[in-house]
Amino acid sequence: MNLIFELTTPERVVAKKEVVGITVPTQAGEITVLPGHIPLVSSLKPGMITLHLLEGQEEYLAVSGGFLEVQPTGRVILLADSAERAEELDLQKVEEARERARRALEEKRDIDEVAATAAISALERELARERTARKYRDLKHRPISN
Amino acid sequence: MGTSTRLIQRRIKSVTNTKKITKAMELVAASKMRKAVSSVLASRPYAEAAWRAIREMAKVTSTELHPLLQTKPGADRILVLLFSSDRGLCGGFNSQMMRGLTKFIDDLGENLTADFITVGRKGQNMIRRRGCNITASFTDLSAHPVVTDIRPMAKLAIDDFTSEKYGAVYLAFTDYVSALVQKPNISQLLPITRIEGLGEVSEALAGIDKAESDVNESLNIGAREYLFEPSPQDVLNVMLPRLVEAQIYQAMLETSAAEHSARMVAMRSATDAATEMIDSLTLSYNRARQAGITAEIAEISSGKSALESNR
Repeated sequence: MNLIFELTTPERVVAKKEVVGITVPTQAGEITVLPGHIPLVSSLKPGMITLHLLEGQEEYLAVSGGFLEVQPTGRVILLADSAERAEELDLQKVEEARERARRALEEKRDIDEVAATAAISALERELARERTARKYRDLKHRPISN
Repeated sequence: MGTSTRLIQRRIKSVTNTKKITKAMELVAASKMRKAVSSVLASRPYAEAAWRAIREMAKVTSTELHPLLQTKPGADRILVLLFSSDRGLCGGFNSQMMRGLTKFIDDLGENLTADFITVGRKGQNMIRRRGCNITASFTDLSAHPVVTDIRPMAKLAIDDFTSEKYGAVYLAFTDYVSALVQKPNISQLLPITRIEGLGEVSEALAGIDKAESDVNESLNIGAREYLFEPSPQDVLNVMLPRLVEAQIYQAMLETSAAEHSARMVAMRSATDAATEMIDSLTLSYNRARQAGITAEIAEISSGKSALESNR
């Protein structure tokens, strides 16, 4: 029995596929959901999702927070604020965005608390994207043969 | 062949140019509408999944206690999020919305005043002309709305509602029924009592009693209770604002789809009117031209006969 994974943002359905396992970053730490998991609702933090595909390969996605719902039927629904597939990310652009977020945070840190909080979450989001994009690039450059 | 034919010709030319513009606007509006409609459909699964999770939560935690679900009977002000277009040339789109809104405000009665958050320049102008209070206004969003655009609105609405500044928050948007029909719609956003297209909250909460019997049943076949991390209340605290965001986003997409379809229809009838005008102008042009030719022939032949009779 495999899991049906669905990743949805308010804008679109990012991914929907059958997998054997999913590793997600939750507020309580990183967890891996395997078939037969108990029903669970958990909140996510920005990070990288790893899908363990049927053929033994892995696929990566970046999320910026949201929810995970594991249904008793083996469907795993992820409601994300925003999400991208690794192949959609442009590493260079992501690095630039991360730099912008970092600068914004440094400027606002002691002046504007609201803006600083926004900058922190933007930075977290960009870091998650960057990690995902890097992982994808590394994977592409030296393909694992199995 | 005098001034009249030249005048008609000039008018035909100018109407033809106008027709080209309206035709182009129609096509642009049609493609934008298609995009907006597909966005509306794409945003549905999110709201549905969030809603299902809340139903599950209702079984294990007292969702009634959440501030976003509670009515605030004391407040004498309400907040309306008004969605309108930035530009005109879209038929009765904005005035239709305004008519609906006027009726809604009249029905509120004397002791409730409405403040507004406006989206779109047209709505902002209309509200200002009425002399109502605008707490925030957003413009230039309708071209391609994304979720990050509506986060500030959601935050304003939620903060002002939880601080008991407003007794309720309403969404005033235009429903995209079909390419030809758009319906102004005013629905309650906060406190959350029902979710557009998904049903009443009270129904979901009433599910608690049923859930208890379900639990007893499921104990026999192995517990299928959901586990909530970190806790049901925490999850609910983050989930409900997102559901509010999803609803605002949906309203915005609906409005955008409706605006573009209204513009498309308006531009199509403008193109049709231009075609008709060109036809009738061409007719009078031909008539004038023929009259000119006839007059010329008459002149020539009368001149000729005058010469002949003189000989």
